[in-house]
Parts: sequence; structure tokens; C-alpha cells
Amino acid sequence: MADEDTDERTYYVVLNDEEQYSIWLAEREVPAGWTREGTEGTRQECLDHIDRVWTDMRPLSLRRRMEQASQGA
Amino acid sequence: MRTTVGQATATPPRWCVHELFAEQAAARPGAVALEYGELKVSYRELDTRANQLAHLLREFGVRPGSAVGVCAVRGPEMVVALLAVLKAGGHYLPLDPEYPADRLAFMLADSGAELVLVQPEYADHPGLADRPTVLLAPDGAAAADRPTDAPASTATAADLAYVMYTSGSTGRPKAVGVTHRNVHQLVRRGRFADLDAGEVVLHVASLSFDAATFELWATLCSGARVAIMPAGIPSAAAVEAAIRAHGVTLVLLTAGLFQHVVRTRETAFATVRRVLVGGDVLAPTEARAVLAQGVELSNVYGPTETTVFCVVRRGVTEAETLGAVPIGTPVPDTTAAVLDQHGDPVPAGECGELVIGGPVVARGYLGRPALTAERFVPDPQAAEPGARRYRTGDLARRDADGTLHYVGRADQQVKILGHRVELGEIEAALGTHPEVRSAVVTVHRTPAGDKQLVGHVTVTEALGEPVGAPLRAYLRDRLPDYLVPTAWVRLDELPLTSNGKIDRAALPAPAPTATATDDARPAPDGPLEQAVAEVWQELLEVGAVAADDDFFELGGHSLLATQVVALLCERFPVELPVSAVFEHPTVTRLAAELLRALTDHVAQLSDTEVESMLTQVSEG
Repeated sequence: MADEDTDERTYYVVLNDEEQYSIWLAEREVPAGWTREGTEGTRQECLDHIDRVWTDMRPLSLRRRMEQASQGA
Repeated sequence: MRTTVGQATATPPRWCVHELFAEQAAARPGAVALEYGELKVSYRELDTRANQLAHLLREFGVRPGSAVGVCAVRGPEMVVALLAVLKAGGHYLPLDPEYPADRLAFMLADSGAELVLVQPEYADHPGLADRPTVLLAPDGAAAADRPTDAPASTATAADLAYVMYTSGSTGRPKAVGVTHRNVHQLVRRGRFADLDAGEVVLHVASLSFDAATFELWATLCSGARVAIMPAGIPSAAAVEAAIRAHGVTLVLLTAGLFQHVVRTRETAFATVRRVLVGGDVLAPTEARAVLAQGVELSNVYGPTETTVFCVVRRGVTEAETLGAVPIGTPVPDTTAAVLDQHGDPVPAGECGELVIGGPVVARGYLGRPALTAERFVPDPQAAEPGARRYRTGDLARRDADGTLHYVGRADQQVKILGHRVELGEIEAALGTHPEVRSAVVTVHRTPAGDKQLVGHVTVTEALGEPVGAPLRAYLRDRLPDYLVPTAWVRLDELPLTSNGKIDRAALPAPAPTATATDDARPAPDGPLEQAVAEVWQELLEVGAVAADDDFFELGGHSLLATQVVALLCERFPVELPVSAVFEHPTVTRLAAELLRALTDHVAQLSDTEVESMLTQVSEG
């Protein structure tokens, strides 16, 4: 969206218990089940950071189960 | 309801699509699952063949997390293949054999598919090069000696069921990953359609379009019957014929196909109990025509990212068709928020972005972390902590009574015949042509009222005139047909706004195409060219047509191409594929193709048959 190109507000990088990443406006209370990852900045800075760190996009519980399955095999 | 980490190995019971299907197969083994022409496939037979193929897939190493391409057209083999992939624990990637090689190759590489199930006639598709393939034979020969019982289920509800590619604004298509839990929510928990075992549902969608998820899995997980349309883009006459032949009770159609069928065959749906229309704005005139026939009409809304549809107006009334038909209310367990740019709900009656929450929300865009994080965001209203909701990019408003209305797009995405089209993707593809300096794609209404993609380009002199034919040919090698503009405007410079952005509003509309009234243009010559020209005039609602006029530049599109073929086949005893119109888009060339098909036909006739045909022609 056009206004997102010029969005200069501060965002946090957040993640949930499944280690799924997203962004959240810093001026607002982070919702239940989400924690701040530590990075903050403009929308684009936060998204660029997520592009670097979120390398395995499977939910955490699924990753663990698949690791167990491959060890059991 | 997220699986907690400590219990991650516990499999939630019967949440996977193939498990829901297996329940039905056990309950009604002799019932018909699939009808295709004269062929009927029972639940037992479908289950057995899918089990055998699943065992074979396991031998290839397919397990949860494995993507398996399915390169097949509509038919029983395709359904066996999809079910087998799920039973083996993997997820399927639809590969439309009509797509260009580049597109299929991209999807295979991007999804990491290690194996492709392919119908023998497409085994040499250049897009599949270097991938191991398993041939899908109609008799199931590939796996005929494998066990007939189901392999132990290893997938859980959190695993992917399928991956579907949608148009991407930067030129790169994006893969939406949809889980078993998402599909379960659509087909069972949502219980929207109240499908019972007596239902016959038409399978008319392309597998690359997620309406097929509903047609196949909602039906087969309910013990009902799928009536499969023959491969290819369906004509209105073919849809009507299939509805009558199979006793179809429910259809789900894109708004474009619905409008086209009702315009062409007004009573096509008269014998159907329920018609669901989605993918674009429901046409009010055609909606009223169908309501007058006593058919229950539903307007359904939902992007692929929220699993087929998530907001529904069931039982549209005639009064609602006098304005824009509402999209209705969310399906059970699903939330729909209308938010402002700060993420706050807007008051009733005001416009905002539609944001969807609940178990229909897909896993995300595979391999695209930033894009996923941007669109799949924390859901502060969810009962379940840590849940995400999907920002649709669609603008909507909500009445005081909770009814949602679709307003439009917040960005450059448009809908053409039910397909999501990112104009930026087409512009990016045009930009790779060595003779194109700059390109902007817009949407224009044709004289017949259909939406048409228009390419506005600045080009080097080397491209020559007119620019349409070479650019269309270039794009057809790279993009699916629905992404290829049919009208072209050559400009010396693109108009810019005062702050230097391209001024889309100032782009000129395509010039009305010159026609045969123009003395310099060749008129159609001979009975075949005249027949082609007459059919075009009728369908395109244009005046005279010249022999070198191009069907697509006059406003033709794929659905109208099916009508061209249908009408020519009514006049002449030939079989013409729809692709003939794409490959021979002028009157002269299509007439030449028609002559070739007629010659082939006559060569196969006996002398008596030829005489009788000549008598018919001379009498007609």
C-alpha cells in the first residue's frame, strides 16, 4: 500500500511460541502469546531483519516432531 | 487449539484430509465418489488406488514436509494422485500442463518438489526436466502390485496439504502453504455448505485455483459425489451439459464464469439446488436471473491464504442484487476485522482493510519470511495466545448488523476471470524483454463489459509495429494465459505525476480497433472467414470485423474463446481445441485452421458419409 512506502513509525520484531515472526507497532501493547525479539526500527528494517533470521519457517512444534521422527526412523 | 510442544508427537484424530476421506470410504465403500463422462469410480476403488500409489510414493521417500508435483488435467487420475500424495504424508503442488515451461520449472525449484506425478501425455513437458517422475496411468499400473491398504498415517493436522502459487507483485509468484487443519476447518468444522452424502458437486475449477479444494475435499470428506468436467476451459454449453448429465446439485464458480454461463445459457443452473459464486464481484443481472429460477445463491469471499472462502452470504436475496451484493459474515470459528492503518477497528459503515483470523489462516508464504511476517500478523482479538491473522489487502466495510461489503483493493492487485492478477508481475515480465524500455499494465472494460488487461509500453524501434503480437508471444512463453494483456498501447513516454510517479489515470485507453469499415482493411473472404467473423461479431459485440483483426485485441478472452470454438463446432462438423484461438488469433488464420480440421474430418469419412454431409451443407 502506498502509505506503507512512507511509513516511518517504529515497529518491533515479535515472535510467538511456534517461533513464527511478525512485526508490531511499537506504540501498541504486544498481544498475548507474542514476545519481542529485540529488534526495532522502521517497518522495512524489521522485515529485512526477519528475512535474515527466519530461515526455517516451519512451526516449532512441527520441527521438533519431524526431528523426533527422523531420529526414530 | 495449537498442539502444545510437549505433546507434539500426539496425532490429533482424523484431522487430516485423507483420514476424513478414509472414514467415508469405510462407511460407504460402494458409493460413487467420482463421475467422469460415463466412468464411475466408487469410494472403495478410489481409496484402494490411492493407497497403492501412496505406498509407491513412500518408496520414493515421500513423507511429511515433502512437496510432490501433480502435472495432470481434471479427471479420476488426478484425484487418485492428490489423495495418494496426502496418504503418503506429503503435500501436493498443482502443475497445470498448460503453463509455460519457465513457470513450472520455477514452481518446482521454489517449492523444493522432489518428485512429479504426471499423466503420460505430459511426461515430456519441458518444464519438468530433470525431476524424477511417476506416470499416472488410467489403470493405476504404476502401483498395481503395491498393498491395497493405507500406509500408516504420519502426517498431522499441522502438516501441509498443498501449496498453491498466486501472482506476486514484484514479479515472483508466491507459494501459499495450506495445512490439513486449514482444509479440515473448511470442509468439516466450518460445515458451511451442509454437504450430505446425497450431494453431487461439479468439479470445474482448475487445480491451480483453490476452488478445487472445496469441490474435491469438501465433497469427498462428506461422502458425496464429485462430477468431473472434462479438461480445459469449460464452455457454457459444456457446464450445462455436465450439470444435466450428472444431476449436479451444487456448483462453485468464479464470478466471471458464472456471468458467462448465465448470459449464454440462462437456465443452465435451473436444476441445481445451490450455486456458490466467488473470486470477484457477483454480477447482479445474472444473479437475479438465477434467483428467479428458485436456485439458492451464495456470494463467497476468500483469498487462498484463508483457504478458499472465509466470508459467505448464503441465500442472496433479490433485494440485495439491486446494489452491490454483500459478502456476508465469517464462517464458524473465523473472525473478520475491518481495520484502519493503525490496526484499530473502524466504526460500522466505514471502509478499512479486511483482516481474517481463525483456523482457516494458512501457514504463510513458503520461503518468503519478510512477506509472511508482513501479511500474517499477531491477532490481538484471538482467544488463542500467539495466533495470527491475515491482512487481505482488500477494502471492506461492515454494517451495524455485522454484514460485510467488499469495497475494492488497497493495491495494484486485480481480478481477471476469477484469477488474482498482480499488475506488477506482468510489468516485471515485460521489463525483461530486450526491446521494452518501460511498461505499465492496466485494466480496461471491453465493449461487451468484460475486464481486459492493457499493456502500455515504450519500446525501441527494433520491435516494429504493431507491438501487440510479439509482446503477447513473449509473455505467453513466461506467464499463464490469464496474465497476458490482450490490448496494447504504444507510447513515446509514460505520463508522470508532478512527483515523478507513473500517472496511471493519464494513460490512454486502447484505441478502438479499426474495422472492416476502414476501406484499407481486408474484409473476410469466403464462407469460412465469414463464419469466423460472424461468430466474433456476435460474441465480442463489435461491428464489422476485418480479416486481419486479432480476437484478443478486439476484447476476446479465454471464456469467449471457448464460445468461439463451441459456435464453430455447431456450424461445422469438426473438433477444435480452445488453444486454436490462442494460436491462430486472426480471422484468416482461424479460418485456415478450421479448413484444416474440416479436411482432416472429411478424410476420415466414407463416401456415403461425405455425400450425406454435402447434402446437409447444401440444405443448411
